[in-house]
Amino acid sequence: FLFPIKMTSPRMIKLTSNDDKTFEVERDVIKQSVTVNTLITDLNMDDEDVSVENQMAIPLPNVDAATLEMVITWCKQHREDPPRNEEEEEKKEKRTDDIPEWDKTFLDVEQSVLFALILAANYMDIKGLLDNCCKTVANMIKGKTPDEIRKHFNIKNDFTPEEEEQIRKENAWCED
Amino acid sequence: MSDDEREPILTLETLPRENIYQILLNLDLKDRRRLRACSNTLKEAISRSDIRAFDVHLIFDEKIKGNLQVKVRPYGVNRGFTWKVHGDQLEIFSTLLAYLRERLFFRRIKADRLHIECHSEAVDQSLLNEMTALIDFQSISLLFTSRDQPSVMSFVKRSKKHVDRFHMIDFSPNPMDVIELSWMSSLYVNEMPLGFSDEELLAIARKEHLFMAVPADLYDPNTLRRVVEIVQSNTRMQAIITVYTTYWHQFLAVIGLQEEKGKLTDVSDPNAPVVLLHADSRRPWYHLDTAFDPNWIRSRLDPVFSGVSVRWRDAHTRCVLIDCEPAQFEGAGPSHPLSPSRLYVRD
Repeated sequence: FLFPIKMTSPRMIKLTSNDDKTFEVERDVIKQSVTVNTLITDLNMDDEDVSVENQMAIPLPNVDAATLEMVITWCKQHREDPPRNEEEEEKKEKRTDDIPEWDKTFLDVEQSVLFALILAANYMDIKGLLDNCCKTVANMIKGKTPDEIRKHFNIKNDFTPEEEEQIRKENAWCED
Repeated sequence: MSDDEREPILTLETLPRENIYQILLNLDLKDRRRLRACSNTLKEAISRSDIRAFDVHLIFDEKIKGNLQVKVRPYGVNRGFTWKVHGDQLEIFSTLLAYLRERLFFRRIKADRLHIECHSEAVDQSLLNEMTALIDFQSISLLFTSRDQPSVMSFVKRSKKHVDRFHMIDFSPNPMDVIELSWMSSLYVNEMPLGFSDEELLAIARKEHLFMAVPADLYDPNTLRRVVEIVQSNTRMQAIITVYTTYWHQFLAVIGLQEEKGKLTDVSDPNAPVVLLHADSRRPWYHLDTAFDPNWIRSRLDPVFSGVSVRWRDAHTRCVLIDCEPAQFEGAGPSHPLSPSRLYVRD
C-alpha cells in the first residue's frame, strides 16, 4: 500500500541586503542570527499561513548582498551545530587554533571581505561566525612585530618619532 | 561611480572598537601591545580609556581552601558580584586571567583599578609572572601578605621597569583582616617598606598614579610633603598615608585631633585624595599608647602636613582620617622590617 505523504517544504524567510538584493533562506538556517530570529518572533512571521511570496522581507541595512550571501552560506554549513551556551563559552579558554577546517577555507578571503563579515556577524548577532572571523584576524596578528602587522594590514604608521620612541619604551618588555 | 561615492574599504583600523575588542580577546598581552604600537588609531582603540569606573578586587587566599574570590564592583559602590574558583594556584590564576580578559575586554566591564591581594604563605614565582602580565591593562594595586619576602621583593624589582601603573606592594608577616570601606572595595591596611627610595617614591607620585600607599614612617618628611602636594593638586589621585600605632596618637596630637574621639569613623569622604590610615587598630583608635616619642612623630609629620592643615573636618584639605584593622606584629625579630627597633627611629 502506498500512503500519500504530505511533503512539507521548509519554511523560508526573505532577507534584503542594503543594495536591495533579496535572499530566501530557510527559517531553520537563519535562526543562528539572533537579530533575525528576534525580528521573526516579534513580527509573528512564524505564522504558517503566510506564504513566502506574501511575506515581508526583513531588511538588513548594514549588510551588502555579497556579504549576506556569505553569511547565509556559513549559516547553512553550521545549521546542525548545537546551540551555543554562552555561559559555557565564557568559561572556556580562549584559543585560536580551534577554527574548523571548513571555516578556515571559507574565511580565507581578502581582508576587506573578512572585516565585512565581522561587521555583518556582529550586526546579525551570529556569535559562531563572529568568533571564527575574529580568531582568523587574531591569527594574522599573532607573533608579528608592529612593522609586520602594519605591512600585513596596510596600516600607516602615523606616530611622531617621539611617540614611537615612547611606545617602544612601553613595549620593551614584550621583546625581552 | 566616482571615487567619492565608493564605499570606503574596510580595514582593521576602521573596525568599530567593539570588534577590535573581540579580536583582542584572542590575543595575548604581547600581541596586543604590538598591535597597539602600530598606529594612533589602534593605540586609541586599545587604550584603557574604556576601562574605567569599576573596581576589580581579587583576593587570593590559601586560607580559604584554595578559593579565589573575585569581586567586581562599581567603583565607590559597595556591591557587585563575587566569583569563586577552586584549584591550585596556577590553575586558579589561569582561570582568573581568562576571566579577566573576557570581562575587561570582551564584556567591557570598565575597570579603573585592580587590587590583587595575595595571602598565600609561599608566593609562587609563576604566579608572580602571571601577575606581571596582568599589570598591562589597568591600574593595579598589589598587596602581599606573604612571609615569602624574597620572592615578593624579586617580583618588585623585576616589575619596576615595566610597570608604570604600579601602586602598592605591601607584605606583612601575618594576614590581616579585611576592612570594608564604603568608598573603596575592601582594603587591607598594613604599610610595610615598599622597597623604594625617597627619590623613587617621588617619581612614582609624579607619574600621577591613581592610587598610592605611603607609609609615613619610612620616608623623609620632605618627600612625603611633596607627595601630598602632588596628590592634592590632582583630583584623580588618591593616596593613603599610614602611621604606625606607636605614633598614631602623637600624630593625632600633632594635628589637633586628640579630643575628637568617636567621630573619626564617621568621616569617610569618597573624594578625599589623601587618606590617613591608622595601621594598627587591634587597639581602639582612641587607645592611649604611651610608648612613643613625640619629637619623632612631630619631626616626621609636621613638615608634611603643616602646610596643608590636615583637619578631618576641613573640606578644603579633602583629607580624611579613618580608623582601620589590626596589623599583627608578633614574632617580628629585630632585623625584621616591622621590628619596632627599626621603625622607631629617634632623632
